Amino acid sequence: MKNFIRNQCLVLSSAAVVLTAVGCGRVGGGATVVPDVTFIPVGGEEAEVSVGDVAETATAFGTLTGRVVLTGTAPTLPLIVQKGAEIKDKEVCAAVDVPDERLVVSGDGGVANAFVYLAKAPKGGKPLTADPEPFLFDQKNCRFYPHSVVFQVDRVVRVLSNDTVAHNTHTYPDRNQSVNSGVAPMDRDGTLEIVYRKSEVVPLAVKCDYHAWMSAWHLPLDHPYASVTDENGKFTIPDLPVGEHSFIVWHEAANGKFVQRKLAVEIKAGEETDLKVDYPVDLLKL
Amino acid sequence: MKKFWALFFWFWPLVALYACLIAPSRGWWFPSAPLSTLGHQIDGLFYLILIIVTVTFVATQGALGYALWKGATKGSNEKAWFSHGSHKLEIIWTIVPSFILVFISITQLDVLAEIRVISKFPDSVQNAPVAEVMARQFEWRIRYPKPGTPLMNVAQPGDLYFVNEVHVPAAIPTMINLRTQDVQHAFFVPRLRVKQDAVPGLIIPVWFEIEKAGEYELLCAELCGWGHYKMKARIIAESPEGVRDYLTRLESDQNEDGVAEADGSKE
Amino acid sequence: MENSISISLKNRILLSLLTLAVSGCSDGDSSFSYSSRTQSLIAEAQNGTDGGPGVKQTLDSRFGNPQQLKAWMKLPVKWGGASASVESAAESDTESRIKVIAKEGETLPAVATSVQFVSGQGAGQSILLKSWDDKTGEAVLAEIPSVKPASGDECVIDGGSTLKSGRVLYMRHCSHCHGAAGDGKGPTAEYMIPKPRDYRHGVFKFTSTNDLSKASRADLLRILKYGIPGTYMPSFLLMKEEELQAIVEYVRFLAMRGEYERRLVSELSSDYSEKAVSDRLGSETRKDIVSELQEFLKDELPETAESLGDDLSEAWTAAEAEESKIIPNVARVEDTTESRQRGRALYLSKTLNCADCHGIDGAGNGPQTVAFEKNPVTNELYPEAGLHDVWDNPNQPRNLQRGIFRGGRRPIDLFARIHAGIKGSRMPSFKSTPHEDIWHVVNYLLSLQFESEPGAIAVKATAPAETGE
Repeated sequence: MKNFIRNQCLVLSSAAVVLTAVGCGRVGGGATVVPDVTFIPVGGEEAEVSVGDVAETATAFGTLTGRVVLTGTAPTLPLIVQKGAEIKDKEVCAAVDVPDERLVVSGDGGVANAFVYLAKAPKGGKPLTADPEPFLFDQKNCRFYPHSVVFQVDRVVRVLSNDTVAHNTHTYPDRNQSVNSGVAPMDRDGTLEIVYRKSEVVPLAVKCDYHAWMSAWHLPLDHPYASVTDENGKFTIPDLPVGEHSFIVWHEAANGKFVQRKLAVEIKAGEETDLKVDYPVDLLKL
Repeated sequence: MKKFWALFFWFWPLVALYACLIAPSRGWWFPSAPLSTLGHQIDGLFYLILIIVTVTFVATQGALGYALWKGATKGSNEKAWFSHGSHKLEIIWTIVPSFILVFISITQLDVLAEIRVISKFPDSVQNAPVAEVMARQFEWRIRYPKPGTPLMNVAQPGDLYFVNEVHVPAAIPTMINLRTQDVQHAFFVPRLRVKQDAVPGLIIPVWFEIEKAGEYELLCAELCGWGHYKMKARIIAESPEGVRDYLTRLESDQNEDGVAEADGSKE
Repeated sequence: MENSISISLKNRILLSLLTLAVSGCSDGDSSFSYSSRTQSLIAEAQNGTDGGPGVKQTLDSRFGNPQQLKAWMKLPVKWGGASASVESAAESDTESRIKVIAKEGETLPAVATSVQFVSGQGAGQSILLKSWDDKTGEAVLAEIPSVKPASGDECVIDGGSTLKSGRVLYMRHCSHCHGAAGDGKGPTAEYMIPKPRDYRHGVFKFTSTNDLSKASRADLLRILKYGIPGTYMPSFLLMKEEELQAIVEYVRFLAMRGEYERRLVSELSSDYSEKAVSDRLGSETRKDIVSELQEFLKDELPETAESLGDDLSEAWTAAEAEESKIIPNVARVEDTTESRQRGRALYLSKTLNCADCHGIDGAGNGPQTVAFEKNPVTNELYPEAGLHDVWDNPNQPRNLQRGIFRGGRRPIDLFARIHAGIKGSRMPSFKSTPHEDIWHVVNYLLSLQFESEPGAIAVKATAPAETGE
């Protein structure tokens, strides 16, 4: 009996000691233990100069042209908004048919609104000059114009409205500051200005919160070697330095959004290289 | 060995008594003298009960210790004494405690009435709460009526809002309306000895008269969740002019339009 | 009988101690959680390769873990203590003395217990001080450093004192909801609607700064002091001013860490997330992808890692500037019935379109609240109807009839909500609306909770004489 009691006391007191030690932060980590702070100075190693900051411009250039073509039968997407539909702000947003712009295919398979661009400014590329004129990004009948567009960084983008209802433009960039601002009806001056200070890796979505079906894509880049395919799927990128380049072909309806991540193209001096980019229909994810 | 247990049971009550005796000088006692009029009465009742209980405690522990000692020192060959109980003793130790308890319950009636019965509140506070104190997990939201208007149960335009700090006049009977936004809390000001549970759905008037101007701690005294332990607020008792000035400042803060400070002129 | 008891008791003692050790003690290696986006990268991108450190190491090398914090001096955080440089150093057999001068704009602290050298041969050494005189900047080190400090070496005196204090206070008061890493996923967060803020976007909703700026210290301090009514965020008014400021610095530190992690991952996620890699495996081998990643980690990520710090520094410093603050260009319009009626007209108009979300009567039941919307980034439908914020939490428009204004009920607070919108939520900024119109709407909103019936504006405006205009 004595032993039993003594042993029980031992168990309980050791438990008490351990718990107290843990609770008072003497053992293990825990909230109340004061941390250490190590300072890391500003500066760090000077990184290697990256592309885009080149010593000399190349002297020989070529042009890339081509088409992005859907191989296979394109699915017909129903209209996003039918004329006269009973939706919010129908006098404006259902005044005309609004097609689903996620996949716009011409008669012979040309895919519109696809982005063809270089991930980084190539060595020897022409220096970037942003257009001093602001870009006018418009909306009418609850639809953005243009649907897909490339800008250069620091270009002023003015958001206009040709609708008698309010819109708001909400961007979802990665590297840039997100913008969410109302646009007054019939704002033809473009009071809302957006400036992208950094290039993006992939195009960023632009939406309207009032009319959730509205969407557009912006791609700010720090070089001019990018293009958006037109309604026939055609694109042109002039003044490419001679050599091998690796292009990205991006489209919003592709699975993973990349049609091609690394399309290798050889550019020859003074020549126009034509490229047909195949967009398999089973890559679509709608 | 048996004596050990007798001494054991005599020892701890002595320790407890000693601790109580030295407690006030070591700061283990009340946080301060009661600084409200009701507080004095509450403390008086407390001391009365303390004395009754101490006497009883000493008597019973003494008797227990004596019984243990007697049993310990008895020889192991002596015969045990059996008793069939004593009717007289049973009556005595039923009637005496009942009498004490009835006495206590009657003595405290008028203090209880002053705390709980609205008609017994001082005339000056009747229907005149100075603020609504809304308890909320884990803070105290205060709503003052617009200066010059009475406090209504429903928010009125011009009401002034603050959190975790209540300004009330000192040396004047003051009443607040206690409410809760979510679960039960309790309005407890230790230095004033004021304590009142806040019950969801009820508006409970609580009055007090703070004798001395100063800052008082308001604690939550009803377990309301993980933050109960830190649900504190400040009650600041000052002169009526001080309270008026404070409310004026609060009103101008609440009407801040961000422009007055830019050009430096405040209205 | 006794023997069998004592043997099993020994085991029992061991077992109970073991259980306690497992339950109560940690191994002292606390860590910040990594975001789900980080964890959706392939392992080589997360953990690095021979080419270079991955996301986790890059992040940890600049921010540390809760026990071993790292103060990256590029970031605009008040670490505590003061930056200084060594003017002279003297060493004898028994002691080492240094004399420091504070860097420009800094004052040497009155009390200091440690010095840390951040540049020169002895960089990285952290030494306790035996004595410290802030008037002369003379200090006697408690031990002889292995590398003698040289004149011109940069150091930090009593560095990190604010950060340490902030971290201890944060863990005690904030981490159970906001999480140890500020991810809004602390143990009590599960039970709350709305969810506690996840700082890792670097976005705070209720600020006094314009729509493109971050929250200022004053904004965060205001939230700490007055809480957010209508949510679970309480007021910490009773804490001391220094404590509140230390918590604000630590929260900014966590926000910067979270945003840094997010931006680092953005550089990698379009090519090296699990999903992207599994898409690419159709045409490339994993070996090629990993060697491409290796080159990226070696050549490009280090520069990005530095420039991201510059971005953060710029953004958070700009938030403190006067230009970032919203200052109306006209004083609040007098709160008359006409103003409120004009405000209501604007509220219902197609120019501002408030009713679409906030409802015709301001009850927060506009048509947007019942529509199912898609996540704009992933294009997937949200599970529940209504609007969501950037944290993917349901974020319904405010019911303005209740008179609960989360960001504050002062006229300037409501003005800022409308002018800058609510960052991270669907409430857009109306910065192009004339300020006078915004004031009309503010007057209307402040009167909404007192309307006896929608649109009635039944409550008379207060007489202007009392406000002394």
